Amino acid sequence: MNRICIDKEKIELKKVTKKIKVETSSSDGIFAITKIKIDILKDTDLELDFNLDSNKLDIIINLLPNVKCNIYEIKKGLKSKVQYTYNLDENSSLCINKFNYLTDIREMIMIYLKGENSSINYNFKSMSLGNETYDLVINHEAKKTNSNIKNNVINKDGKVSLQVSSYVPKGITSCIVNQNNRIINFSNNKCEIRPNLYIDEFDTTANHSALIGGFDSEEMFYLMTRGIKESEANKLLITGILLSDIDNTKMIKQILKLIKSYWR
Amino acid sequence: MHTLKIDDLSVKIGDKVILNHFNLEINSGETHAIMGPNGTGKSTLSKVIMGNTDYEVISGDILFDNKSILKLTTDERARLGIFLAMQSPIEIEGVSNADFLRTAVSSKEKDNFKLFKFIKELEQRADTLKINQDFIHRGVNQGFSGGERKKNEVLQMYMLKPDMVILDEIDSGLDVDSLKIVGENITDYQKEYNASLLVITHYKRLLDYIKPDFVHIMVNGQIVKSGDASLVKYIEEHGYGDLEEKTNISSTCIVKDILKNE
Repeated sequence: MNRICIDKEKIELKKVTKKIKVETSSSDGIFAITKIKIDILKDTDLELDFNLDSNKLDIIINLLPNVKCNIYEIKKGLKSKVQYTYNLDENSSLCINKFNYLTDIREMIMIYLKGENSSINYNFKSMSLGNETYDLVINHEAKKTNSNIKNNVINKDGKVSLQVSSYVPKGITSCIVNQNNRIINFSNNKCEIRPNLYIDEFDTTANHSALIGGFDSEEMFYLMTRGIKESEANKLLITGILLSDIDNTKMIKQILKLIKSYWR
Repeated sequence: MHTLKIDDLSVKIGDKVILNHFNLEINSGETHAIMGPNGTGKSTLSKVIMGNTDYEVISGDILFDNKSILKLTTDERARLGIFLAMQSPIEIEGVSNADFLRTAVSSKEKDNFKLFKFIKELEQRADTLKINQDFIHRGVNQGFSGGERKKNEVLQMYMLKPDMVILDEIDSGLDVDSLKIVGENITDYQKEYNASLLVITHYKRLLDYIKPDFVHIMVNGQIVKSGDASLVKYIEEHGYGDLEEKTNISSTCIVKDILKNE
């Protein structure tokens, strides 16, 4: 599997095949930004492993026509800012499994569904430690495009803001737009979700759900009737949410390790 | 020898009184069936025994082996050996049956928990209940049919080995074959572990497999008539309306009565 690692300032390309093309550049000084451009040329999987410390990243991922790609991304470390741009050409399909475990993070995510029949599955999880702000914009620029966005954040001590905006302009027909946003908040800190569906085309299928709060009392009761303590039940439900839809064994093992340190 | 005693228990949710001076005693090896019309408080009784915090106990007590369990949390009651097989078992996203059961069994057995023994027994019990092995590794009740969910409840019962089993409409959603499997497995379990059963049901068909020693008819939050298995036949023939008239109980008079006593 193609693998790109960032350890603070150092970028490392491991097992990178000819199925992808990677360009990196960095600027110096106070506004230092590390730029990574990845072109996905053929069907492949990509692993992104980031250990950040006050990094500013600009990541651009381009999918060529008829290409399918799975991205498995884990980010951990300290306060950072990241901007993502995903460009999808016709008949391309991108599945992103992304996991964050950082003290502070600010992310801007731009998704452009540029070609007909392009589709994105964005499956994001985070265990919040500090202030987290996510601004996600999904642009359906071609007909028959499909976006399926799932954001799940577990917040113990931090403050989380999640803004998700999906755009379908007039004339861009037969699109499917899904948003599921959830923050499980164990703190008294204010968390917010702003789900926006800007749809100017009748021929669109759209769904959204947003939830901020604890776990469902019915779920907790069910688990506890089996003798599971409340703290264990919480851990079980957190693990369930954070691992759902992830099919990569290595990523699952890493997340389980992080959950253990998070939920002591 | 274990005993569950419900002593003059009254329970409300909001302003509505659901259980009214309810009394029942169940000993090891005994099977008690509770029947009654919809909305009479049967499921509430099962949840209150398990310590669901949605309900408020106004008066009375629940004793397990002569000790009050009212102050115990739901998980503590479960670890004492009380098990509730639910009417509508819920789905839990992302948590596999195996992980869920492993956590539950290890919570009970603590240092005595043996993983290999657990896996072997889980697979064996799944076979006995004719549960597909794949289900063990799927999310708890995710994508399960009504019948599969009920079988999963019985599987959990077998793995946790409780002394006191409450079956809340375990027969709903079961086809004829599944009803037989569930009924026979529960009866076998009771024989093997000398467990006591509290069976909440609307229908005689489950009681064809799980033979009750005592049958209680519950109307508006209290037992209005108790008897042996022949009472089931009476209900099948006459319905509950007859008993409501004879006992002269209406929900209005119960609420008034409770409020007066408060």
